[in-house]
Amino acid sequence: MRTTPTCATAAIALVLVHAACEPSSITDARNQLGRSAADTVRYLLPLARDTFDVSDLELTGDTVIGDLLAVSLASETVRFPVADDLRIDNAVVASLLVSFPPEAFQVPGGTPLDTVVSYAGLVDEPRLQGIDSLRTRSGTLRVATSNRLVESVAYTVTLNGLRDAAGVTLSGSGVLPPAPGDGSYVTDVLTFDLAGVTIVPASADFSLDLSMVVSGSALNEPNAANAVLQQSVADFAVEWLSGPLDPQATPELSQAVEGHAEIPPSSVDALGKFQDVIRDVTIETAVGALRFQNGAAAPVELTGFELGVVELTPAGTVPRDPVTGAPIYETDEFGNPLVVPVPGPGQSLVIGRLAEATVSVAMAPLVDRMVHLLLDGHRAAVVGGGTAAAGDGQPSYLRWDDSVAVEVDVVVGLDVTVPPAGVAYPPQNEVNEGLDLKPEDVADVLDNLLVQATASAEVHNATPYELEVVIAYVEGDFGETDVTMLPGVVVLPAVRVAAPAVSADGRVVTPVVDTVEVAVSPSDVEPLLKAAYTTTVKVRLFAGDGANGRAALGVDDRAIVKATVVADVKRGGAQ
Amino acid sequence: MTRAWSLALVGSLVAGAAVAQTVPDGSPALQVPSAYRRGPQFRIDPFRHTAVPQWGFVIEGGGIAGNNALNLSDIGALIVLADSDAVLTSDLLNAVALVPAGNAAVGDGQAEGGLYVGGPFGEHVSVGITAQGRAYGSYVVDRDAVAMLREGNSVRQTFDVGQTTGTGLGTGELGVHALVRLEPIGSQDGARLSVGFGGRYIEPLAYGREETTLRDDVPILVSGDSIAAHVDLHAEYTPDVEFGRGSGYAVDVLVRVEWPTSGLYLEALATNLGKVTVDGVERSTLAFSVATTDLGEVVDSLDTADFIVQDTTSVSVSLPRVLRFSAGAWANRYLQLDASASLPIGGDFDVPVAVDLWSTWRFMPILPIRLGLVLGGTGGIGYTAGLGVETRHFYLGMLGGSFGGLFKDATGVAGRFELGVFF
Repeated sequence: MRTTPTCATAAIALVLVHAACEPSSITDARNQLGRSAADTVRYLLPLARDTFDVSDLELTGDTVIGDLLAVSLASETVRFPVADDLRIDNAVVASLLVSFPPEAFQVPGGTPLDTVVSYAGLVDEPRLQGIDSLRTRSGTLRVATSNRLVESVAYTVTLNGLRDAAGVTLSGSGVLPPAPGDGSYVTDVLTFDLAGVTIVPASADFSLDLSMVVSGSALNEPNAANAVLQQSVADFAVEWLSGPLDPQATPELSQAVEGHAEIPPSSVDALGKFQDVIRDVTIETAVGALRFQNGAAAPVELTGFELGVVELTPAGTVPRDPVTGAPIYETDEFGNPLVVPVPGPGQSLVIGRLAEATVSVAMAPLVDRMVHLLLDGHRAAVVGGGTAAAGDGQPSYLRWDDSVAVEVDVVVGLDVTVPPAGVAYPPQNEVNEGLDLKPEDVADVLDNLLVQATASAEVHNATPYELEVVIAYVEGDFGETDVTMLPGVVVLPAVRVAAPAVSADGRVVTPVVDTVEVAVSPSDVEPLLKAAYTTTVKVRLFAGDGANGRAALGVDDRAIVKATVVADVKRGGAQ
Repeated sequence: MTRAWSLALVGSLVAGAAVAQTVPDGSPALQVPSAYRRGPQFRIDPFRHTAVPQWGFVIEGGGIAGNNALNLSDIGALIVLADSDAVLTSDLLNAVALVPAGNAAVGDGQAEGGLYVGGPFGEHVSVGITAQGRAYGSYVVDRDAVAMLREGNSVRQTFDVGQTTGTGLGTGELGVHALVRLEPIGSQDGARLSVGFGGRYIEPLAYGREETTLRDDVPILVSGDSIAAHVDLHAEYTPDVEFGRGSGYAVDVLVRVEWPTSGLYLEALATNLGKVTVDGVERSTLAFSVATTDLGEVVDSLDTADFIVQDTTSVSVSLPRVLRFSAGAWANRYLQLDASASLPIGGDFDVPVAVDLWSTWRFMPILPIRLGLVLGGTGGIGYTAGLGVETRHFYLGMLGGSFGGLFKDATGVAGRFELGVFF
């Protein structure tokens, strides 16, 4: 209670003050508060701030090529079988001539005559000289045995060195019909199925067992020499082969190879929002990292190997020349196929046994076409082809299903040539909350406070492009909708910012900052005073003059757009 | 030295009765009753009535308050607009514009009221007992924080909150003060030294303090494209007003030298040398942190930010310590001139330096008229006036002040009422 005098004094004072000093009306009250000298104060109100940064491109798998920003597309693997067509046709089997001494027929009729003759069957086939053993997938061996004796001759052929799947030596028997005796031959043919037959060329010791009964005819004596003739020929597809394989000795070890892999449309997802830009530009830098994986236990040398891109047919097949059967590659503006020699023009690539080899090749035109095909909704495939030769004269093993897999990693550098008309960067939206003033406050600001307002846009251009920036805003929350065409929108005049100086390869030397200010009406400021407003910033890229329209997007390149409303607000100066 | 003072004090108690009579009758000082020779004062003066050499009873109340921006009419205007729910943005901006350019928004006030009973014991010693309620308050909104609104953000975009604080304390106090009048120094009409000392037992009734700090000393950024503010508001307050929430003590000391023959005096007063411990203080913090390009997010953040009570604790509060030097002269029997300078010497309240100039006119000795000026303080130049009735047995004092302007144009006011009966 000791505070009573204090409180009472204060209360009395307040009552007196209130009574004596209270204005008689709201207008008087406002005038009272505005008693200070007339003045203006400048407030900067944020309108938009967008950084067109690398991160805004929403790139995935982003990487660098040097200091150039790049995007790694999804990798694809193309398989190239190197022995699927490996077959040896017209394999030369040694010929056999069997002669009898004339006196062998100077015996009484009915005398049996038997003989066995052996010979090295495959010694005359040079293509098998570097092969220790092989197994056939299919094929035949035709053994033609001819007789010019007047007696029929029973015979058995035993093909030592050729075993069937059960390990049994191939053999066959037949009967040679009697010949007329005029020196001409009659022939009987035994055909051996070579499917699953293992051949050891060095052990191919064929034998011919002849058995007949001498008739006593004098016609045999002049035909005793070379009485029986055996000739064979073999054609077979190889399941596997081993030995000191040498394509020089066995040309069949060199095969034309071809493979393709469709590039899924999702590959370009890695480009993020930059897809829209890429549509209108030409990619100037792209690198293919090719990883060759040799699945064969034989070295493979690729020669004349090329990678190209094709637009697949609606059925998903590689389009081919109806005459040559060659893939119809995409072509450049001069009609030349867009192919990339790997590892380089006139160079071959050797991949060791069960080994890998990596090659990096520049393939910008090819990738540019591939990306554009995909962005335009077409199906595209990478096609590779050339000649694969297996073996190097050293012990090797090769199966029919052995292949070389090529994993293609395409890295697209954001190094592009912009067309003269420029390209539009995807619009960026910001939904901002305004000052959310009450309606009477909005009217107060517009009618009483606001002296003048300007919109200021500052563009910090550290991209290699010339930029044209358009800023528009409208009251309300329109999410990601481009507001530039909405009713009531305020569109600020476009800001054109020159491209920074770039080096010969399109890299930014010094960023450029430019600012533009335009007067805006009070009604243009009104959206900022409301609960929310949506800003759309549109940027169009134009090539600078420094590198013939070419511009490379570096890791640190970015454009920063800052838009501000500058409001001059009056205060004081009440009448 | 202590012994010499003690001897002098004892001597003065014994021999002092004859001293006053040695002053020549025509001396200016004797034209004024000794009870009222001390200058008039709005400000806290614990020896004010103890200096009266008669037994008596005084009821008093007074206060002084000011700020550097709003005058009484401004405050009235804000009240009118607020009552009509018609405060607009322009009104607030105009109000902020009233803060002098480049300055912080500051304000302070002190008020006291209570009872005094006391009187002399012999010729040389007077003792007074006071029972009072007091209130202290001050606030400072740092000039950087004011500039953020007042000057806009086109020239500068970073702002500090500096020493933005507000503090208030209400107390109930019981004090005992004594004034000892020593022998004239040198000759019988030489200078008279008076020494006063006293103490007050203080009970805090209510306390509140808010302080704003920047987190990690990172200034507030308000640019044309982004806003970043990491501000912590620390609040300490007692949830209600009541006794029994702590205690404290304060000491007051006075030294006065008076030359009655010449009609001059010099005085030094140190008051409020003490602290109060306030128990049951809730400490809470409001953390406001925003970094955005969106002005609306700032508003949202402010809407959602709330104080979180950290703990309840005891707080030691330093009273607004003041060192006051005063001087006065009786030019003749009609006019007395007084001047005093009040200097803050620490404490938890921001009290500015102030100089009070008074002239007391005694055309009729019992009806003094007082006119004066106040320099310094938060309210600017002040004009003060007062009336009194000063007789042997009755005392009435009324003072009023208007700072920064007169009446409705005042940015500060002061008032004091004193009614006493002496025997």
